[in-house]
This record gives sequence, structure tokens and C-alpha cells, in this order.
Amino acid sequence: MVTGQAANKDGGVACGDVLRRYAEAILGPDADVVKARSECIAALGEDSTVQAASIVASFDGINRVADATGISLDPETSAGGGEQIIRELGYEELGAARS
Amino acid sequence: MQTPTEPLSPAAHTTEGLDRSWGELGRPGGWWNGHERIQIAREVRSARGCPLCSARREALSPQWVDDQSHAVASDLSEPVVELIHRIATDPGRLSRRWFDEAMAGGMRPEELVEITSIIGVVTLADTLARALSQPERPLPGATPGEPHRQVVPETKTERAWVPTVEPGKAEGMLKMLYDQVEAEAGFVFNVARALTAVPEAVRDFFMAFIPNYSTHGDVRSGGLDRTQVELLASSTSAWNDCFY
Repeated sequence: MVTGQAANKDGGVACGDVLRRYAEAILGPDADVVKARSECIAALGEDSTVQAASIVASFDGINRVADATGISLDPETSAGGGEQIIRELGYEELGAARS
Repeated sequence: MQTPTEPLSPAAHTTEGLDRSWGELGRPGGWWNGHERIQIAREVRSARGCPLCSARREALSPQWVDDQSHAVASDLSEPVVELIHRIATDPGRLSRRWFDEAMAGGMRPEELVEITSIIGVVTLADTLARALSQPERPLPGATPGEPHRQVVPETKTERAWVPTVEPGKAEGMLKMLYDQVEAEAGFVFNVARALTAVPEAVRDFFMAFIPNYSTHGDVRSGGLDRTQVELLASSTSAWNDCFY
């Protein structure tokens, strides 16, 4: 459940901070993915950690499909929880800093 | 129970689709033959360690870095290597101008669509391997044969830079994909249309993608809840500077 409590950088999501660190470790070339995965296993168990890995991997792939084809965003998607989570995690600044 | 530092195995239901998708990499596609498709996959991997791509990603604009060469791992033409490396390593800054310049250079939209599908599959597989500390999959061998080069009728260029097939006009493989997406998500999200100019590209990418990802409808019992899935997806898109 998204609660709007962003103080712990978890987006108000259960174990959000752990999941975010695992996602960043997977995507960051120099990050310690084993440490982040261990933390995730401790918090959520192996099955959920494997599921988290699958979701990050699948979105890493589909991001390239969306960007390279210039597909437009669905109204249904932009009205969903994704943008709120990005705001709550402070990722807007990350994107701006890279661009 | 494994110790936390040991590699984890991917879920069986996700492996099957990825295995099938991976097997298609070396077969002739719609617009590239098997050898070329393997070369495209090889370039995706080479791009990750490419000094030029790394320098461009750090630069304020990728156009400002042009004094180096790509780390080339194939016999593909220079424009194709450039295109693969950009999509693989800096997708968030691709623009309509970038697309138009690629088309002006003689590439067909369908060729770009098929390249994109291969990049998507290889990225998904290699990111999953890294996440679980598994070795990268070896690329399959190339199967002889030529691509069919058949233009899909009834495409429109409305929701994307590339032509796409509307769900109401879809037949065969595309109709099955749209029906599956609509059944799971309740609507056909736009990115499901992105590769429809090349039916094999749609099939290969979504065969790998769908089992690995679920935010719509019920998430697997005992697994992550929907908000956790959304957080992971949003975090990944933000990391990639992707609007989607």
C-alpha cells in the first residue's frame, strides 16, 4: 500500500527500501548485488527475491523497447501508482541529474 | 535453504519462456538472418563495456563525445552497431530526431523493431543472471536461412515512431498476444503494440517478458504485493531514465 510516507525512502511500500536497494544493485554495474540480494532474502525470503529479480530484469528489457520505438505512455499507466512512487523516492532528481 | 550469498535459480515458470525466446535468437527473423541476429546480441553485451558508450552516458549530451570508437564485437555495419549500442546503454535519451536520422540512413522501421526485440531479450536475460549471480547464457548458434521480409499490412504510425498494428486489426500471433495482454491487464497497454510491425519480434520479447513480470491482476500467492512490484518497476524505469 502506498502511504505517502517517504521518510525512509521506501515509497510507503512494505520493505520498499530493501527492494529499491536490490533494484539499484542489479542495475548499477559496480554495485554489490550479492549484499543487496542477501538483505532482500532476509527481509522477504528467497521466492520473493527471485520474483523481484524477474521484475527488475523484465522492466530493464521493456524500457529499451519503449524508448527505442517511441511508444507513447498509456493514460491508464500514467494515472497509476508508478509516478507517485517515483516522486516519493526522489527519483525525479536522479533522472534530471543524468539528463 | 541456500546461504544468502549463493546464486539463486530463476523461477521455473519464467525460465521456460526465456529458454524459448533465447532459442529463437539464432533463427532467421523477419528482417535479419540468424547470423545477424546473433551478431546483434553480441553487440548488446559488448556495449556494456564500451568506453565510448560509457563516456557518452556520463556526458551532458551523447553528441558531445565523438573522439572514440565503439567496442565492436561483430561484423555488422557501423550505423547498426551505433544504433544497438545507443539503445542498449543510453535508452533514456533516444529522441524522435535520433529515430529520423536512423531511418534517413537507410534503415527500415521493421529492422529497428527486430533489433529492439533482440536487445530487450538479451537485456532481460543478462540482468536476471546478474541479479541472481548466475552465469550469462551462451548465445546459440545461427541457423541458416533468410528473413521473410514481409511487411505487415494494416499498420499505423500513431502511438509510436514505428508502425504498429491496432488490436482490432490484429490476426494470428498478434491477436493472441493482444488477447493475452487484455485478459491480464484489462486493456492493451501501448508498449504491447511497440513491436507489432514484426510479429516474430513481439513473440520473442513477450515470451520472455510476460512470465517474468506481473503488476496487473493478482500477483502470485505468497509473493510480492502489487505496490512492491510497482516500486521495482518504477525504480528500474527511473534508473534507466525511461518515462514508461
